[in-house]
Amino acid sequence: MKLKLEGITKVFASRRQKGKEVTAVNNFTYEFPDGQLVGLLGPSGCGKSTTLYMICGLQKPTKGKIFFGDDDVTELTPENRGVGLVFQNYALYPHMSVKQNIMFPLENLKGADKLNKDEMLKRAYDAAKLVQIDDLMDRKPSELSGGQQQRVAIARALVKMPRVLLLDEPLSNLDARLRLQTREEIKRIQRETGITTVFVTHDQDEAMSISDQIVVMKRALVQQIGKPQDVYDNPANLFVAKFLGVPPINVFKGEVKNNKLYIDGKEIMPFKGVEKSYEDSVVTLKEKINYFIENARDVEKEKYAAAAQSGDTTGLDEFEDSIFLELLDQQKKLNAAIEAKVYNVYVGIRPEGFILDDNGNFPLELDKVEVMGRDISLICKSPAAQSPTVRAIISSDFKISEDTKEVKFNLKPHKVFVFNGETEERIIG
Amino acid sequence: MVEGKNQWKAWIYLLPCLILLLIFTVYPIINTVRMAFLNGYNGMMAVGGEKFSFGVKNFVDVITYKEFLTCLKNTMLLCVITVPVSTLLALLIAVCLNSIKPLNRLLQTIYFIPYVTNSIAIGMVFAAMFNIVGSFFGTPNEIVTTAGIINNIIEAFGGTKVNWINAGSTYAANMTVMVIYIVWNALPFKILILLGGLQSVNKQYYDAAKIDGTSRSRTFWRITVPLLSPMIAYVIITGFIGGFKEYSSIIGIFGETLGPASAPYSLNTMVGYIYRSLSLGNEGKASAAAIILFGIILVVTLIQLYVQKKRVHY
Ligand SMILES: Nc1ncnc2c1ncn2[C@@H]1O[C@H](COP(=O)(O)OP(=O)(O)O)[C@@H](O)[C@H]1O
Ligand SMILES: [Mg+2]
Repeated sequence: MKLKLEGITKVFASRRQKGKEVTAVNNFTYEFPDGQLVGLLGPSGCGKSTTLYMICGLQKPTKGKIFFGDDDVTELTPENRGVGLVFQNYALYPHMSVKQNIMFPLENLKGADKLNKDEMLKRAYDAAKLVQIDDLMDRKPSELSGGQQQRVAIARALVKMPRVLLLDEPLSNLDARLRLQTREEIKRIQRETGITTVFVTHDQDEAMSISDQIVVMKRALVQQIGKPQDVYDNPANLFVAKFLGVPPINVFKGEVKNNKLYIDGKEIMPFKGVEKSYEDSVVTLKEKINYFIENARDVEKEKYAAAAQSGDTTGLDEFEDSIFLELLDQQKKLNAAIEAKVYNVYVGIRPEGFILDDNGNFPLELDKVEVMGRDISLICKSPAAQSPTVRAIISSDFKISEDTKEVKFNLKPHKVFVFNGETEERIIG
Repeated sequence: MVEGKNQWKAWIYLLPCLILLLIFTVYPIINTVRMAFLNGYNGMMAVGGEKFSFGVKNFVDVITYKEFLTCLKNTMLLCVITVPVSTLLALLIAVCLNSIKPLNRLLQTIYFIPYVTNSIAIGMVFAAMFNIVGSFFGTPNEIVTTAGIINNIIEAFGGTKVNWINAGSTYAANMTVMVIYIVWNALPFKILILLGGLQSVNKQYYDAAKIDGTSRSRTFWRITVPLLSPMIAYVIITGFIGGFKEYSSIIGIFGETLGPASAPYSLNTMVGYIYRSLSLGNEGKASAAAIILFGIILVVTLIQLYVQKKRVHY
């Protein structure tokens, strides 16, 4: 069963300020492929749970449509959608045994779907076997470990044979080892059942390791969708590049001049196409601003439109209108950059993108060396880096002496990403 | 643990509290037991130097005395009726209150008012509401000078006046008023406890139930009630204990006659009996009745705790 979201948007009344609104999910469009596991990934508060709750029907989208296969389920109540949901803290009924918990959804079935006691038991045991808890059926949830409770929650979600399985941060309450083990388990169960599954997490490692596709979100907006490896190899913007990968990507401030990329005043590599990319950004940014104004509340449309027209932002609130202010600010800076022909960029270099080379053109001050068996981490410093340290991972075949002060690198071009200094969008050279 | 040589310090800190406990709790309990087992004990006679023999005469007297049996029956009846009724009503109201968003706070306050109002005063208001003043009730020559609001309402809906609490009223009518009063008076505390319980129930259980298509009534009985069962058990046990100690409500409604003027003491309760025996100088009987009351409360509570262990979840 494929699952299609068409421009779903959810706007809440703000909890913080009376009369204000919060957009939790903004214009989310995607067709979740049939029978695949899709990871919904993003920092806390970016709207992942809200997306999940809209899919299962606990919350109604403010705008947009949801399809299961060809059925429009937007208006259906949760029980009529045929979804299974696993909550972050499992929400197992504490007064029921494992068996009763798993059977509870079946006992609710009405009419033609109604099962007799034996069928229910069989279904419950089948689900329990799938998650390997069939020997714990008479225990209460409080007598189970976190991992076992997790399995019960999955069994309870699976027992009605849902069309779509939804998991909200299912591993966040488990300890590190169990988390590794359980995520493999979830992948196996998903493969065996072939149910279209949406898996929410803020842990990029988790999402990368088990998802067929990942959707990266930030502040209610989808940033990028794709196969985990593709997104890692081809981040659409600085946020995605920084969010994926452990250890994280190294980010430097740089500049493109005369089709060459400079970091800290040193020429790193040839880089073409930055002017064109800046021109394109002006257009996409304009579109973004227009989209924002179009989708604002009627009472605020005029205010935003006027600010966009004149560039005068005195009527806007620093906190509540921060997203819009940021867009306007970007626009201003982008135009100034094009005018001055100064192209400041961010350069992201994956830790594995460094090649140690005495004749390399990218020198860094060496701070310390971490040996980790298979490879070595060189912890370096650079005034152009965004973070205090820069990490380069190289093979442990190299021997670095303790008193080395400076190391020189060449870079693997496909591990280096250049981003627009104002919009933080990727520039493909 | 306090070290040996410093233990006296701990005892000194405890001393004021211990002395008060000894004087006002331990000594009275021991003395009650002593008086209960001194046959025909009477305070005045004891002061006069009279010696009493040990025995169970007080107990025998008490349980064969008709007035005591009336008190026992009244107390039991009030408990058995008011506890389940008030618990169910409180549960219903708590669930409703919990699901109302606007005015939630205001309503909670309103429901809490009876709890902070003096129960004698409430009783007098109830008495005024159920009152009827006049004579020849139920006959063609009936004269009514004033009627309380309840009877006025009954008449407004075309019913006939009921003599609730005045001279000549029936035991059933008296009991009805008592039950209404006690239930109403017991509600706020129970609502408070149950509402607290409801608000601490994780909302996700309801979300999970919704996704599984659980009907409202099934959600209530299979999820809400079991999750609230510790609070429900608490409310029932304290309700029974309170019910066995019922007394001030009778005073509030009937005054010192503890019943309609035509049948004084007909609504007296166990505690009322103990007070009355004391005022008549029968300390021995009062003590025996107090011990019997203690025994009953103990047994009922033990039974409930036993049931709770089997039925109350997690
Ligand atoms: N019921 C609600 N009322 C108001 N704001 C909400 C509500 N639910 C979520 N939000 C807001 O929407 C945003 C997204 O929340 P959520 O979907 O829970 O994020 P995530 O699951 O990615 O951490 C947050 O800013 C949150 O404060
Ligand atoms: Mg969440």
